[in-house]
Amino acid sequence: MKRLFGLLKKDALVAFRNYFFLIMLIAAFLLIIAADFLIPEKASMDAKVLYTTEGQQSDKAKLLLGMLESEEGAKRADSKAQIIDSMKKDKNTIGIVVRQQNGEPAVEILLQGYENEKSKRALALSFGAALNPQNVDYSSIEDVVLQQSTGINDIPLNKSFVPLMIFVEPVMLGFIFLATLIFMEKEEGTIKAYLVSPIRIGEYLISKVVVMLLLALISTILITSFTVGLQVNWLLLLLTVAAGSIFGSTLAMFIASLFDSLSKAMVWLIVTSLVLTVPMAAYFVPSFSPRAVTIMPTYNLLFAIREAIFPSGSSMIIYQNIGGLLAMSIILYGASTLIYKRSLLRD
Amino acid sequence: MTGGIEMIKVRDLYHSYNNNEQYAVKNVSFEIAKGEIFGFLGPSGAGKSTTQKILIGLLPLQKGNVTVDGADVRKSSRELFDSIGVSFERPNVYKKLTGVENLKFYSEMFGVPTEDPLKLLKMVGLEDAAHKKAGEYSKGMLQRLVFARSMINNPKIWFLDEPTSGLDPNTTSMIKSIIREKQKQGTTIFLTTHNMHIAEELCDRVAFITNGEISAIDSPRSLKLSFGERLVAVEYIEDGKSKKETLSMVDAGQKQRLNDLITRCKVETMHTQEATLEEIFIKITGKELK
Repeated sequence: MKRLFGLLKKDALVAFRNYFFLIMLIAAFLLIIAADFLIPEKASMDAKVLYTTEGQQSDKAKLLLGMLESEEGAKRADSKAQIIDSMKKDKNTIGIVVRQQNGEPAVEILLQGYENEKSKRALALSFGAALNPQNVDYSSIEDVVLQQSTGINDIPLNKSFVPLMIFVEPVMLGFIFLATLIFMEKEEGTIKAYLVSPIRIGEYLISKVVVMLLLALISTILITSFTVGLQVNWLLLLLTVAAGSIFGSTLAMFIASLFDSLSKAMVWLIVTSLVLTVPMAAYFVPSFSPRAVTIMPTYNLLFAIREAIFPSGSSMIIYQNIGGLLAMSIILYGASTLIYKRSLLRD
Repeated sequence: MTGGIEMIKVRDLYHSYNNNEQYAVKNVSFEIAKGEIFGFLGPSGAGKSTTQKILIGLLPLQKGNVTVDGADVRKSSRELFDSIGVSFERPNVYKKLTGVENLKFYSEMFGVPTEDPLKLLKMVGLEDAAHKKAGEYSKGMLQRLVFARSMINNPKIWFLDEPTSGLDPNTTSMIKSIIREKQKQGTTIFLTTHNMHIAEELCDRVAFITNGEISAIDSPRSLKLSFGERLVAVEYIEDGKSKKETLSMVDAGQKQRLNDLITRCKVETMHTQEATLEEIFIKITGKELK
């Protein structure tokens, strides 16, 4: 323990003198500012609808107009020309012109041009259903709500970024920091000096993982406290982040064990960090969930962090995530210890 | 060998970096007794560092037998390093830590009583730079810091790799006196160098190594006696002119010539000359030390 404690003190001081703590604090500060002041609490992603009428309207058409009037975000315009003008200014707007054609109401839909076929068909179908409600058998449509109060949709937009911030800062920054620390020591040759002392290479490496863990936990506590407040499940959040940090560190360690300089490893470090952050896309677009993304350890990690901060009752994801990440970390740690030993002995 | 307890014993050591028949070290055998300074001499790439790395566990033992402080290096535990000190030729310290921090953190790795870092820094003349970051040290200061670090655990066996390389004469002299002092205290010293003057001054015995093979092991004095030609340099006046000749003390004809000069001429100076260890090395190995 005396040796490990000595290594920890040394690594923490080296990390401090290399401004790792300062960088982490500045990054946390910027993320807190972004979450609290820059990102709005609400942002509508729904398209605005502008509608107008041409000529006399039948009762059927009036029904449709009544539906549009009651729709949130829909506004009446004076003319088709006005709609087109507004659409040019706001790319998130679509237009609807209702007119009589051969005694029947006709709907002209004005689109921006980038809408996909599915969206176009869905719009056409909904107008068809509004004009001819007798053709739709609503009795065969049943809503099944699995979780009445997940609360996920009630999370303000700015706060919903917090799990992403915790994923990027404490976890991914740890990945980069650890790789930097190891390559710095490889270049200085200090590990050779320590290898001719009674310490084991495993102890030498684990102390760096612990320092990164410390950084990750401090950063998580700061970001969470100053954005979503203190009302989170701290135990589960810190355990999740700890598992993520250990995974990030051991992965960086594994990559570092395969190369003798940072320049040689750089491409692999960048590619790996990019791949690991792909699940961030799935966070805001849950429908983007190809198998290749969902099997990535960071996919579960991201949702586990959200679950710890904004509980929805799916705490199993947290335990699965912690178990999975720790199992992978043990494998990566064992492999890198072996490879590290061999590569050092080769020099 | 000078006799006594064997602290290092190497038998039939071979090592290949490519795991083939191209050996960086081949058929190397030697023993080092307690309190002995053993010089391992050879040019760059001769196999000195490879041998030392095997002894300190930085390279695996492929073939042969090596015992250090009575422990087989194949089976030895990490605790063996409590009694070993290694001074590397290339300074390898934390540049962001101060001199004293480098020694302090390193001292915490050992399970035996360690030296006071400041005392060691004072010994190598770094007391004024103790609290400066090592990144601000000159190459010579870094070399001394590494040398000081290798003494932190009061090693029984001390491996020194080119300990005076790049140091000025005063610092070299200081380092040599520390090495002698440690020897007096009973430390066994394995000195790897290509500097024959240092080896000649410090070593009880030396081994000459070239192309991975040892070609001679003996004390510097015995090597000189065995392989060196004793010469006499004579400056004399003959026919009013000052002349100089170097004559062998072994060759009968040249011995007679020396007698003639002493009786016939006015001898101004006469000095016996010994071959240097470097000359002996070249004579034995056919290679120069570079």
